[in-house]
Amino acid sequence: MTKKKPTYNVEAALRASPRHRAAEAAEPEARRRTPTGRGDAATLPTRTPHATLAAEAAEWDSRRRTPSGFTDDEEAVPRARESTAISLRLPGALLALLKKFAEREQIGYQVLIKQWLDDRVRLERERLRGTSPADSARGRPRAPQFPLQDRDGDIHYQPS
Amino acid sequence: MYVTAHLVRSRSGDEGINGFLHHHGADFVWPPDAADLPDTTPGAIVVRRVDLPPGANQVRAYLDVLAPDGTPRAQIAEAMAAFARDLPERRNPTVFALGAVTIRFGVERGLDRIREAQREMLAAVALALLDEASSARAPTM
Repeated sequence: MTKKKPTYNVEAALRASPRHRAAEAAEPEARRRTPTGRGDAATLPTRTPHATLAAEAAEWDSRRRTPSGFTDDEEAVPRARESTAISLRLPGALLALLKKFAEREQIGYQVLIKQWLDDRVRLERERLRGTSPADSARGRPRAPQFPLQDRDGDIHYQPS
Repeated sequence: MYVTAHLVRSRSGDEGINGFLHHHGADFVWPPDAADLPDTTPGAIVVRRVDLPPGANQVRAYLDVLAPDGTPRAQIAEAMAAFARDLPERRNPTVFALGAVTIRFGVERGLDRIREAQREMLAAVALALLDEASSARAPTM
C-alpha cells in the first residue's frame, strides 16, 4: 500500500475558514456599495473573486505556475537590461551564512552577494592598475556615516 | 549649489526636517568630484527651512544634492529620479552621481526599512527649497 503524499488545498482551506465564509456572506453587500454610495454600476471597483485568487495560490504552491515566463518591469528593477540571470549552486552552509550577513544589513542576500562581488571586482581592478586599496578607498567619494549630529553653522552635520 | 535636507530629532524627542540651499557663486570652479563639498566648501546659504533649531540634534537621515549653480531644475529632478530607481541596490549611506549632479543619502540603522519613504520625503523638501529660490529670483509683474 502506498502512502498518499499529504497535500494542502489552499482553496478548500480558504473556503472552510469561518473568516472566509463571513467575508463571502458580506461580499454582495460590499459589491453594492460604491465610493459615492449611489450604487452606480459604472463606478463599481473590479475585484478578483476569492476562488480565482485561491486557485492561483494553489498553482504557485504546486509549482504548476512559476516565474520563468515573467519579465522584470524596467521601471521597477534598475539596470534590468544590463543584468544577466545566472544559475549558481552554492553550498548550503555558505548560503546560510550569506543570509545571516544579509539579515544583519537588512538587505536581501542576493543584493548582498552583488555588493560583495562589486567590492571584490573594484579591489582587483585597483590591484591591476597598481594602486593600493587604501589609495582607492581614500579617493572614493564617501557619504557621512552614522551617528551624526547637526551643527549651527555652514557645515550642517558631522559625526557625533 | 548644495541643497541639503535632513531629518533631525532633538534631545527632547521632537522630530523635524531642516533644509538649506547654498550657492557657490559664479567664480567657483566646480570640482570633478563634488561629494566632499558639503564638508569643505558648502557655499553661502540662500534659502533655509528649519523645523528644529540646529545644534546638537540627532541627524536620522540626510539627502544632499550637489550641482553647479544654475543647473536646470529638470536636470536635478532627473538625477533624483534616477537615484530613486537605483536606490534598492545601493548601500546605506551612499553617493550617487549622474552628469554634474551628485547625491548623498543615508538613513540611520533604525530607518533602514523605510529608506525609500525617507528619500521621497527629503527629496520633496530639497526640490521645494530649489523652487523657493527660483520663485524669489523671478521678476514680479
